[in-house]
Amino acid sequence: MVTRVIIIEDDQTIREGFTYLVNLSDGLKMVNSYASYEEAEPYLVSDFPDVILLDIELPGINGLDAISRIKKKYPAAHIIILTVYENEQNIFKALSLGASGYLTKNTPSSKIIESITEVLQGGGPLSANVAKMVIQSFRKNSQSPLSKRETQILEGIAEGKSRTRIASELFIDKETVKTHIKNIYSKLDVNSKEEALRIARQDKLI
Amino acid sequence: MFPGLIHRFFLFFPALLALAWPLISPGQKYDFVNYSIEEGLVQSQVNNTAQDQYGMLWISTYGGISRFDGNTFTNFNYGNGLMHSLTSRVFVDDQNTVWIGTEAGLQAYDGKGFRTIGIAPDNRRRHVNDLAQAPDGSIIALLSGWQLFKLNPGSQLLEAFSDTTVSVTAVAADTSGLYAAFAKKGIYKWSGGQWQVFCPFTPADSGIVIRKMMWSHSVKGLWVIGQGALFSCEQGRLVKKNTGIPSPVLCLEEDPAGDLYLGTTRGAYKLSPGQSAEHIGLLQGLTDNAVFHIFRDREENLWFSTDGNGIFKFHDRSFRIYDRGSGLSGSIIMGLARDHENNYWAGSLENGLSVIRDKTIRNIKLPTGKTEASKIVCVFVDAGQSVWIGTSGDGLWRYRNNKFERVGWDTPRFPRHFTSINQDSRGVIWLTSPMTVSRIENGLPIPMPGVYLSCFSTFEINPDTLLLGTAQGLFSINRHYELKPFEVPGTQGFVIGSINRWGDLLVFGTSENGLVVWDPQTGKSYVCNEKNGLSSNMTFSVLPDGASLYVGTINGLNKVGFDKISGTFQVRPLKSANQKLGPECNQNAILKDPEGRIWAGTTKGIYIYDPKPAAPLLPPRLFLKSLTIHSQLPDSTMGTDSLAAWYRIPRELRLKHRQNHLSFSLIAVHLTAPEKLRYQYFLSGADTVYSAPDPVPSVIYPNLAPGDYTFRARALLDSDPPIYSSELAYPFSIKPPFYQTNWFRLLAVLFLLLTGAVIQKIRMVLRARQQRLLKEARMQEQLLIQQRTSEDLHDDLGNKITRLSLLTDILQTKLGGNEEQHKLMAQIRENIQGLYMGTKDIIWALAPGNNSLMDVAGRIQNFGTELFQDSRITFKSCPPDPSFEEIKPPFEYSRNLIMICKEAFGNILKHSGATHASIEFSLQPSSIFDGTGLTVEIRDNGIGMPENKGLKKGYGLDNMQKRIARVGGQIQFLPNTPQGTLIRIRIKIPRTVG
Repeated sequence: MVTRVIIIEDDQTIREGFTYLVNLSDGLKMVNSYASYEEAEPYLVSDFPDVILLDIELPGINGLDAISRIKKKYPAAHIIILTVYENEQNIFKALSLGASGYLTKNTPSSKIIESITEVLQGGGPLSANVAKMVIQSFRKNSQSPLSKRETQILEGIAEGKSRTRIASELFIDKETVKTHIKNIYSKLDVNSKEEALRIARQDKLI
Repeated sequence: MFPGLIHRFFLFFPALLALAWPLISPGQKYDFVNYSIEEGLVQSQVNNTAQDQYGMLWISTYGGISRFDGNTFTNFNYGNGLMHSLTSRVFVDDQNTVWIGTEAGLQAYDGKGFRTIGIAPDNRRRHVNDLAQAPDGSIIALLSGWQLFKLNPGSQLLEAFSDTTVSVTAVAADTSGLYAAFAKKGIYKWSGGQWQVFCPFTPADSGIVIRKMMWSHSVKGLWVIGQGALFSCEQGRLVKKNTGIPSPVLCLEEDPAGDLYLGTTRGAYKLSPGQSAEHIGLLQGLTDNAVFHIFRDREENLWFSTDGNGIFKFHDRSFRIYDRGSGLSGSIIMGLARDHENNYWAGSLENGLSVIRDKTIRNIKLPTGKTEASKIVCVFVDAGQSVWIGTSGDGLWRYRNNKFERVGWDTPRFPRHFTSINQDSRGVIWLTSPMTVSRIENGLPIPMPGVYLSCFSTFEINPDTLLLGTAQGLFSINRHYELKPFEVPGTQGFVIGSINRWGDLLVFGTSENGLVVWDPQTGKSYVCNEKNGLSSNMTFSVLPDGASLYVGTINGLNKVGFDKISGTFQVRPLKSANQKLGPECNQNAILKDPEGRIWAGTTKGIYIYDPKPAAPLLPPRLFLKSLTIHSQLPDSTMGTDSLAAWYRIPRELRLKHRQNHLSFSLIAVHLTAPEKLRYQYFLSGADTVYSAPDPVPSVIYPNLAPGDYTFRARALLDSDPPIYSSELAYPFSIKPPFYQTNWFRLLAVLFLLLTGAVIQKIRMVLRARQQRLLKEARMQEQLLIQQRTSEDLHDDLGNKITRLSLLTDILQTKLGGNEEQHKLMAQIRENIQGLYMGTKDIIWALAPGNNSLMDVAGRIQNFGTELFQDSRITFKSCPPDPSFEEIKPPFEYSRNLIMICKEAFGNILKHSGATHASIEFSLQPSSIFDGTGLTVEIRDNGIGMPENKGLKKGYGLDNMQKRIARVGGQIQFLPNTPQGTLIRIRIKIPRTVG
């Protein structure tokens, strides 16, 4: 089955670039590309995307606001947000709003493809910095919804260890790690929306 | 002063009876001053007078009582305090309480109010007949019913002191004791607690009802009046005095000269030692009504209380007058002369001659009986004691040897009208006439024809020169009877009415230039006229009397003194007690009697002036009558109330600063010469000397400044020399308003200082805030710029780099398997990555909010995490201490630290071969001035630092050294345990301001 991907990105070169690279990969197809959310919105459902590459720095409705709308309109799609430079606050917020992962725009194409695939499997890319942030936010909140295992995995990610390495160190499957990460995400989503906002405010992240 | 006992007082002198002169009329007019309702007295029927310790008189009348200070009356009757207007007695005790006996009882007045005294046993209404104070201080009252009552000191109730079986008819007291007259029994003295007989009645006396008793001032004896007659009580016996007074005697008083005055139902009588009683009634200036009381005040005036004419003040020293009322033939007395028998010859213009001797007057008409014979113009007694009488039209008469004879009537050209008569040293009688001058020489009348002058006076200045005063000035007549003008400056053109010698000087009375005094030796003359205070410029008579000169003018008599050295005059117009200057003095009608009295013939009779002061005037007594503040009486808040001579004056006056408009009203008591009273005052605290004497007894001080003052005043009698009262001092103070007190000033100064300091502080604070706001604004602006730049970079550069990256990837896919191309691509990608990383840092640095040490540490950690995340190296970093948030290092420091750490991480990744890496931040507290010490430790478990120097270079170590040196820190490369490298960086982060 082909994974249907759309991209919402205002820079033409970047948009065309990603389209080319995605189409180059097996199993992936860039169905459509849009320069703004407003352009994309009418076609969201009809495009039937599996994965949406969403630029944060959009004209009009910005990427973060778009996440909520997309989630309402087409909750089935996985959203990967794109930034030029990582802005931890935005990323955390996006993740709390329901994004499944993020990528920097100059990531090698291989990584991009990898992330798209990962997201479909429910994992989702988690950079070490984001992982660290998640740990810190949960630490601040005494009631961490994460299990001990999940926390360990998160810490490992925060230390920059690869999934493989974490799996080997914790004597578990790489698949299990992925599952844990998936769970972390879902927990992040459900539990941390308000949390994230509150903590972000506390830590002056927003 | 008469000696010894009273009985010698009365000597009937037969001389009076022996005289051929029939008694025509009793005598002279006295200078009484009358006060009745018009002058303010409460009512005209006065029955008693007393004097208080301030010198004021208290007068009881049938219509109330009056208090008199010499000028004004203050009245009390039923309407304002008295229990009954019909008063009968007033008495002042030694405590200065005024006792008032009324028809209904006894009252006491102390200045604050009237107190009615109860009468035991039943307070029945009783009339008060008499009052006295016993030596023990109690008040004795003789009430209706002929009963004595006593009021002990401190008591409010009169208690019976004599029993009702005996009638007491009079009571008197003095220092020797208390005396009462018991009907049918006699006079008793209270002694040893009982009445002891003092002057018992003989059977002959028993019918006498004694009504008054009085101690004599001068003689040890008691005067008694009873049955309208005068008695004395001598050696326990009542002795009747034969006064020769036809009317019943009611009262008596002695004057300082020792004369007795008796008040009767028809005026008063004066008894002088060795003389018969002289009636003083209406014609003498008093009244013919009853005189109920005669009172001698402490200034030795006599006050006559009369029935219907009020009260009369009298002092023997005043002017005495003879006028038609006294029996003088006429009022216009043109000539006066005294003969050797002490007869005073007065010629009147309208009615002939009067001859006065011993106060009796005999009027004589000249034998011709013609009308002109009544017009006497001049009278002169020559050295031979002939009396010459000059008439207006009836010629010249001479009286000698009890005979009148006319002289010169038949001599041709001898005048029949005469204006003056004088005698020269040779005995020649000189006569002036309206048109000529003539003389009598050796008994012969000799006219002087050819003198067509109106002549008025003659005077011999030396045996060769007789001065002639005419309507055209002065002339001289020499031995040869030659007439020549005589020059005396000041006399030319004026009528010279009188000429006399005054010491070395000659004096001339002129018609319009007053008095001219001429020094014959120097030839200088001095004028004394109205400008000098002379009562008029029309001067008619001059009479030298030692150093004084009496000058008669149209406006009365004057007494003049002259200081030859300074050429100044002292002039005193002589006024009667009634303030009258005295009427017009007639030409040359002036003489001095043996007693030194000056007789002046005036148009209203003969005025006799006694220059001898009988007794010096007593000084007046001065009291503060009232004081008002802003024209209102002070109230109790200003000071304690007190009485000063019957007036309420607050003591210890303390006023507020607004109460600074004060007026003082003074009252001086002087009964004898109240018209002479003047006042002087000054306010010590504002003035330094007494003001000039002023008759106005009040002064206003408006607008006084706060301070302590003493108001000082004194009264004086404008006499020669002036007589001063004692000084009145009234202290008071005006409090300064609070804003003038020293406390307030001090507070104000402190307050101002404080305010100044506060203002300064506020200004400083405001300025600081302003600066702070300015700085913040600048910072905000800077941040905004930073942000905008960051955003621009972010969007613009970021995307462009992304494009490059993507295009490179796309290009990579389109390339073949060419290794060289792949190598080049890899290089391109590496550089793009480098560019990306570099711009990322700049954007991070520019982003506002990334300025705390926490942010810097975070950045370094994130970089490390990112760098090592896909490598074999696990990277550990602990979140730094929250205090990192507070430290804001300068940009230089942050940048260099980040670069050093990045370099170090890069080395670890590339060269160390480590599997673990970590970074740790720690702060060392340091002093405020130095900043904060930061230690950064980067560890790895790799192969460690190479020894080879050349290799070291490749690791960018000197770069790191340079960077750390830039910020004044240190870097150490140490071996890590158990292996690897420890890079220790130490920086002192200075405190940045703001």
